[in-house]
Amino acid sequence: MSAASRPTVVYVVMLACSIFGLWVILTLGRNLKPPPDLSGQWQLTPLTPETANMGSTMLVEQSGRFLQIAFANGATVSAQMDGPQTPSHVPLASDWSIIEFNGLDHLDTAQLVMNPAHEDRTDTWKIRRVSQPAVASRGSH
Amino acid sequence: MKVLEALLQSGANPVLLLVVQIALILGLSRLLGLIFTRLHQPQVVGEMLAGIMLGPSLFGWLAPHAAAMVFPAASIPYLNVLSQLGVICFLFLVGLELDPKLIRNRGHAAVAISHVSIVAPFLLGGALTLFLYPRLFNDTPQMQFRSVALFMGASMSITAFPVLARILTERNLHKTKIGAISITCAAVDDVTAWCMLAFVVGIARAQGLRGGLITAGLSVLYVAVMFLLVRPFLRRLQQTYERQQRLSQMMVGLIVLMILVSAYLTEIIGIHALFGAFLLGAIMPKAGAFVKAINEKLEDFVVVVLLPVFFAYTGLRMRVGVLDTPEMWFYCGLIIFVACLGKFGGSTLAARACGLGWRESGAIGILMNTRGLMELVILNVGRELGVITDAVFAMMVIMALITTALTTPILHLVYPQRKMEQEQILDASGGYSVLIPVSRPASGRSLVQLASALIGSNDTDRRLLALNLSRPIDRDAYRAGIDAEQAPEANNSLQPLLDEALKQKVPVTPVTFTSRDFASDIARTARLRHVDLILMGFHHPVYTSSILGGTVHRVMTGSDTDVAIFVDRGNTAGIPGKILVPYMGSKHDRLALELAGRMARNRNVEVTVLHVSAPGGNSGDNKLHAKSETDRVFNDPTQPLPVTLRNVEGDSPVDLVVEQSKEFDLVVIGVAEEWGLESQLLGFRAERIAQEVTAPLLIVRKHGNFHAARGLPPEKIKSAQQTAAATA
Repeated sequence: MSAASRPTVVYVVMLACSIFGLWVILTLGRNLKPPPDLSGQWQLTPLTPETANMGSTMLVEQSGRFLQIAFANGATVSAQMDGPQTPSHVPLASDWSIIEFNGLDHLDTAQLVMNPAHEDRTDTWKIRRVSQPAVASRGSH
Repeated sequence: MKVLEALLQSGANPVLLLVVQIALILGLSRLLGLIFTRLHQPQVVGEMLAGIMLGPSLFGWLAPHAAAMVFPAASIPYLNVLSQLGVICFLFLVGLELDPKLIRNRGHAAVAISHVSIVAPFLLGGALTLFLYPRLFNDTPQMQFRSVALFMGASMSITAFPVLARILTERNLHKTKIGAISITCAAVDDVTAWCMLAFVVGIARAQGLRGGLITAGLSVLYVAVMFLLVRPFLRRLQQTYERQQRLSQMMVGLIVLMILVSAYLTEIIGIHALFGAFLLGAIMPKAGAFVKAINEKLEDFVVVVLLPVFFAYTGLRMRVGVLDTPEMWFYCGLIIFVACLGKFGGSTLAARACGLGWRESGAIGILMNTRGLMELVILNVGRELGVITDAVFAMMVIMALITTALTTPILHLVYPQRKMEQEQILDASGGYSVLIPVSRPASGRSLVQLASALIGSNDTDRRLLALNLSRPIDRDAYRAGIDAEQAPEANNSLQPLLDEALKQKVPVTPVTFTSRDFASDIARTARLRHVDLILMGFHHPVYTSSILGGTVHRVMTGSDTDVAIFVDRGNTAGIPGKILVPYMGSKHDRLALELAGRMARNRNVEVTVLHVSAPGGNSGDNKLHAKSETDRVFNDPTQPLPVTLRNVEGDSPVDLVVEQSKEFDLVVIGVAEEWGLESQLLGFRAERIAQEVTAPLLIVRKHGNFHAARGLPPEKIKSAQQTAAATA
């Protein structure tokens, strides 16, 4: 092989490897499913009179399986998705309660269930997402 | 606090609030930038940290109330606008600095390393997404796997060209093979990274195949218009500039307008405003001073005011608090590991495969792993597009900070100063050699005259080195500015010296480089070049009135070479005819004798040794010693030299020297407490001899052990030291 063609061959091989590697990554990734998106501002409506007063809204900041929930009454919860999730059932575990988002539908409404640890009661709210984190679209800068 | 609250009553007045915010951002950013520079870190690391500190990660965490007052949520959009504008202008400057020669004229090694340094981290970033996607990303339309994987790959392959160039310049590596390869690779990475970003943004924003094709078609059209229409127009602008020899405000306005229009168009096309700004800068004609003039007009405001706002805006959006579990920190560590593996590992292996040694390959890998500000730019784009989550944003910012901050210390470990010095050591010739550090062009002439008298004209191995050190200019903090800007200044500083050397027929080797620490670099150069004497001019230190203070003190105490400080009275006319050497017997006095002897031998000048001793005392022995030393230096049987030994007694050696010096053209004197000449870092009292002797002074200091330097055996050194101590 001539001295001039060797780098060319190296680059063709490198390019081929890169394209193949990228193809493999994209193919494998196609089957991956990230956790359901719960981020945004939610409006809370207690379903029972005994439900704890956490305020009328909550803000959910989500990074994959990790969530930080800030209620309007000032309470904050760091929670983590626990177990298999589907949009209709998202169980969360946190230090002080077990939380579930149930029945999330295309209208962004769901039911929020909280079981505070060491307390024998369940709080339930009907929740509706009122806003999601802003994302820049084309020409929106 | 009350003052702050009063200031922030301006909460109702967004302009006042913005003024307070910018003042705070600027103050902290300059302060931390300065501190990090002192710690031999790139300034940008301090400024990035300042931005993070102002956000919820520190300020908001320590004082949430105050933070909410200073940076209320309603004010963030104003900062966003300023920071976006800053980054757009900055990307234009980055493009402006892109030297096509760097990319065109590169060797096979640079080509291979630059490509691998992009491909390896890109693929590893994509592969890492396979693991992180189900854990750290949300099921949103923006976070589709394809967009996330491409974005993660692109953000892992970034190299901060400006920071890298800065590190190379500061370590004087930019003229080495490593420096040349790294700079080329970083330039290629720069171009590739912004093109890749445009591609990723296009993919992330494309709505269906049709949308994607439209974006691709418009992008090609835009690039074609830029090259075929805009570039020729820019050439015309350049010609106008060259004709007028100045950049008019009209022209500056036109260029800023073009930046904004180009950014606007690419944003509308869907490949992000930053690409438009970068491309406009990249296609600017680079020949001549046109580009430099544009730089000077725009750079200071962008770099000093707008970029810190961008850092603060990034810091305000970043919350380290979201990383609140060990698992999150594990992912953060993994991102850092993969980023380093891809960039450092890829570049190192590619360099090794190209035939470089492990150490050099490692150094290139470390340099390429610097991400700096560029990473923050790309991360903010990803955040705006909704391609990454808060946690991934925070992790990647930490990765950018760590990879940038680690570059200098790890480079020191892998490619230590000692190693660099070994490579730079030059063969010492047998002749007498003098190093002249020149800081003021005017002093060069008299120093060369003196040096020429010291090294003579008969010795073919004699060497004269002219050293010009320049401080790194501020703009280097963000941009390379490697050779083009500093070389002319260096030549100007050395020019009078070089002219005089030509006249004296003394061969001179000019040495120029950038230095943060003049004193240690002077000492280091003297050591590396095996010079016999450092001959420096004297300028009043800024904070003291002492001659032997400040840098002079540090050179005297920190170098392994003899040092002579020339105090020019401005009345030196050529070579001195009569030299006085005050002598009391110290090793520095003996060096003064030897230097005077050299001048006598080379220029046939008349030397008078003024032996000063206290009245009474052991004056007989002292006189004998002074006589023997004078004979040793001057009474060479092959070439006896005209010398007179004067013995004087008095209580005040300084008064005697002042009185006797009146009839001489030069006084060569060793540093000694008895002469009132002591080297001190902060001397607030000017030396009496320096003030009262009207003749020019050459104050000399012998380095280390004089007797060892003369090659005496150790047992004789001890007895000689005892004798010297007794006589002194």
